[in-house]
Amino acid sequence: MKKVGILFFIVTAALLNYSCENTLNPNAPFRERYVLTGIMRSDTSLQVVTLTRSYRPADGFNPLTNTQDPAVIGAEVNIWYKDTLYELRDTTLVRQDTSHYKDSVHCYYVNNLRPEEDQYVDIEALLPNGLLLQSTTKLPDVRPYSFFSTGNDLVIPPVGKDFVMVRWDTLSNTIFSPRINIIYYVKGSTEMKKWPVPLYYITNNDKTTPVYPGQTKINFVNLSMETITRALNEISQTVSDKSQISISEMDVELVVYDVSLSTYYLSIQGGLDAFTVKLDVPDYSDIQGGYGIFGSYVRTVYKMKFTNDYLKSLGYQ
Amino acid sequence: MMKNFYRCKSCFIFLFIQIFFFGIFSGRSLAQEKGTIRGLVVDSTSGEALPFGNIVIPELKTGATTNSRGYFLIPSLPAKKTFTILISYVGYKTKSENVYVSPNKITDIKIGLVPTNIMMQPVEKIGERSIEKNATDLGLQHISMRNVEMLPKGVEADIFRSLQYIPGVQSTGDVSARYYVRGSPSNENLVLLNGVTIYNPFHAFGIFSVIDPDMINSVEFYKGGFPAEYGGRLSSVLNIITKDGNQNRFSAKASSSFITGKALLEGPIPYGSFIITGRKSYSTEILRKFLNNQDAPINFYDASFKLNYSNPNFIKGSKFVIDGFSSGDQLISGNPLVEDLKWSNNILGFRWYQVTDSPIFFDMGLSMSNFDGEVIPKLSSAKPKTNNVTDLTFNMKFTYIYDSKDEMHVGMDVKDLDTKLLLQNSLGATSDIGSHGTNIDVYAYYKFLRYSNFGANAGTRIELTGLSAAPGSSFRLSPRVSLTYNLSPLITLKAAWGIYNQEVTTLSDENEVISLFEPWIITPSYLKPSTAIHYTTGAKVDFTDFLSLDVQGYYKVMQNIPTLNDEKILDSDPDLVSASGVSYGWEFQLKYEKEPLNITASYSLSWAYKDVNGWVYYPRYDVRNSFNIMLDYNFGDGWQASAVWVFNSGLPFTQNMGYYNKFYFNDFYSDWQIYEGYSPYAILSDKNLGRLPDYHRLDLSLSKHFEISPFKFSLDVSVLNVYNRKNIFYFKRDTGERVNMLPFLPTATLKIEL
Repeated sequence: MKKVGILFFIVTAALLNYSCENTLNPNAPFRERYVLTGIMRSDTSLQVVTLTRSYRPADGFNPLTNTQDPAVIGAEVNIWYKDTLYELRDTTLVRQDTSHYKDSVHCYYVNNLRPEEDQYVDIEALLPNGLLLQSTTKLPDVRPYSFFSTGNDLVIPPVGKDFVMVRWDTLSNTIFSPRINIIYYVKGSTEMKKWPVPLYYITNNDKTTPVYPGQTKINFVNLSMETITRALNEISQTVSDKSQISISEMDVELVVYDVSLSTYYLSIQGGLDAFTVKLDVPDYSDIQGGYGIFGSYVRTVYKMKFTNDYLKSLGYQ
Repeated sequence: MMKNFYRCKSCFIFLFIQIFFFGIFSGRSLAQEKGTIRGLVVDSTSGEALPFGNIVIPELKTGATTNSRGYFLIPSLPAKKTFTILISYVGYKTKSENVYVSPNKITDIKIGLVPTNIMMQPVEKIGERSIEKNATDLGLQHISMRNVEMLPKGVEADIFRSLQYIPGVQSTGDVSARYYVRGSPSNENLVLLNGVTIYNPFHAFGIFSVIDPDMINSVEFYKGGFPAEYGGRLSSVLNIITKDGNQNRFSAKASSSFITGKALLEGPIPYGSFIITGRKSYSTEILRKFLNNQDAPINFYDASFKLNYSNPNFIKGSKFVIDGFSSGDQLISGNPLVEDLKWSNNILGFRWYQVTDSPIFFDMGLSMSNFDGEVIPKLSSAKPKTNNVTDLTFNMKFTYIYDSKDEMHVGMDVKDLDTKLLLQNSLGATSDIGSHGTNIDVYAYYKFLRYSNFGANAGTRIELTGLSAAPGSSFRLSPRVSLTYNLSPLITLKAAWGIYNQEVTTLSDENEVISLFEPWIITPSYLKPSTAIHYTTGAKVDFTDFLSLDVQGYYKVMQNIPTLNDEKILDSDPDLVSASGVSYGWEFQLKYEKEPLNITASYSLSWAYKDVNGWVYYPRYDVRNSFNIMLDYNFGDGWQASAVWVFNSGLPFTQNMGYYNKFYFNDFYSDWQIYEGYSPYAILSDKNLGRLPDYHRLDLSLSKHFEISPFKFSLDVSVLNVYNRKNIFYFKRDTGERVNMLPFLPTATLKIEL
């Protein structure tokens, strides 16, 4: 027995002496890759594209230790839209967040391109090393007169029901980003103001929190009159005299992503529960020859008017 | 073509029936001037059946082993004579009994063995070699609950964690009790509780199993080459039989660990017995150690009951059993911005066992197994996940033992399965899968045991109708053969071959190292049912009665393995793609068992490959070298100690090829983020081509058993990772932070028995 004890002691001591932590090399040989990021917008004529290269963390582990801006400068970036070629120019902007990179932000832009719904936009980026990155996006088809349902409510409050519903077309594999605003003016000012309306309010531990619509595949919003009334009352709390407020309308503003941008958006959301640990997350990209995203979105609005009687009942003129 | 198919089908069924009845009647004709002893071996204090015990008739140098219900049968004995039989069982006093063998009759006996206090004195083990030498049991391991209790305990004694010390069985870390057998994914393991499939047998994200060891009577584990009796999985079978309950007196047990409190109540009822167990979490503080110090205030419970009724005035030789099991885990938050998680298993079974005046054993059962799992996102960003599985199974089995000692087994399984799954993958694509199927299998196998130095088990399983609607899922044959040959009294050679089919799968993500539960579905109709072929060979060398070496080699080919489609982007894309796999290796187990010292050393050298869409890679559970040594020592006077040292060469992981700055955005209403809205994102190299550092860990345990009348106490103190080895679990790609597995961790358990 004594021998067993001695043997056990020797083995344990030997193990204790053994290195308690092996170093891990998480890196395979580095191979440079290139990234194109561009979102074509229907609400502006300024279109911006960024080009960067991949990098290796300075300490081998933490990518945030890299402080050298990986921007690719000197590339030829071209966009084709409706048989017209747009050559993007490169420029620099003052960086707002200098905690990571100190240099200016490098990007490529064009300021006379405003793509329309249901149209294709093609991009090609010829890098200084001769590598070509390519992609195509098609803006979603959201022409307002056919996109929103004809049966939607036009006035608030609607007749015979205590909720307002706005519905639009279902587009497969498409993300919608709705935002509901009450448009109002403060008398004496011509500035249009927006008051965001939540979908509903939740109460937890005696604290009430508004829940605003998020990005979704659902093709409608539904608001109770109680929520709308509460939002209208909140507007009046920003001024001392309610008569100073002139309520104009309620808008459902909708940003509709194209299929690529929708998939990309979902891929960056993670969305795992708090406990699941996933090591290798698939990376979505629609860039031929590299990484990144070339997508598009369209912004559209559905407007509703308030009845005078309803506004008066809340104390508005 | 179809005509030939139906003709062939009819031929097989006809052949099947022919084999069974011809076998029985030809067997009976041999039974002249001979007699048979049939016995039931039980614990004399509780009446609990003692499975896998040894029975020897020294005068004839023959014997038998009790089955999982404690029965044995020794046929073809010279009649009109009295023989002395020796009955032995680890932890019990060996008993000698004289039995008169009546001619052309079965002589029934019931033997009660008196337990020795194994903590106080050595136990005996006799005659094992002479009985088992022609057993066709390649790949089979009987797991003793005593060994499970002896192992150092992290959270609780756990049957699933004890499997990981068997060569050929791998885990992917301290955090999970999930196990991988011979290069197969965990969803190819069949887990049976009293013959009923249990779909998600894990508590607390897989940290330990739902099956409380206190309720277990016997455990059989096939790591491959299992007989035709078992179907529905490609890789392994874990068959757990629970206790019947004390038939002689009422008794109660209670115990407490750092995480749960549990109780057991058992006792006699008229013509039977009952047992009720329950376990409930009350603190999950220790789970933080398993989850990288993350709070996991999860509530869980498991409960079981079993009722036995055996009234000779009702049906002679019958035994009726009703059993139930329920487990549940939930993490419910009152905060609407935090998701709720819950999952549960529920099982209800009825079984009828019958022995007859002829050497036939018969049993029939009806059972229901249900699993429900759910992630309710509420207003959080978590993605919804719902899985419901309802399994209704009817099965029956006949076993006939010939005078020659040969055995014929015939049975039928009818399984009606309904699965529903709703989830969203990491690319946001939704899966809404619901399917229903009925599987009817018949099987037959013949055990050729008439020669003491040779044994064979040959048979087949025939799938008459499949669960899956895929073409080719009906009328499939799964032939299997297992052979044993005693080269010399010391050396036994074994080999096995078989075809195995599976028609259910989990939509589990290989890349998740911690996951809530694995959602089960019937294999979609666009994939062929999966198939595996096992080739196994082995040798067992018994150097002495106390020292043995078991060597096994295997080669396994798997086809049509459903694998999660990582490239599913659109809702309409398939959830699963078909993969194939190959695994092979060698396993060695050296055992020294002589009280008061037991030593088991295991080593396996293995390779596993998986091929998905032409890309071949090492799956995460591919461990090249695995070694462990277990040592336990009985000091006497109630003191016992054990030590386990485990070494595994590094697990595969995917290396980084670099990082790029990826564009992140919340919406397009606020400031335009395209200039600076970027964060580093890893570019992955070829899948699983890197290897993590080697894993090793030493665990110690010391236990003391003592009595303060009328209570019996058992105190166990364990220390995990004694030398605080920093075994890496994974590293966070976004920060490069290293996350290690269990640190130095002392735990204690107190058990009180009345």
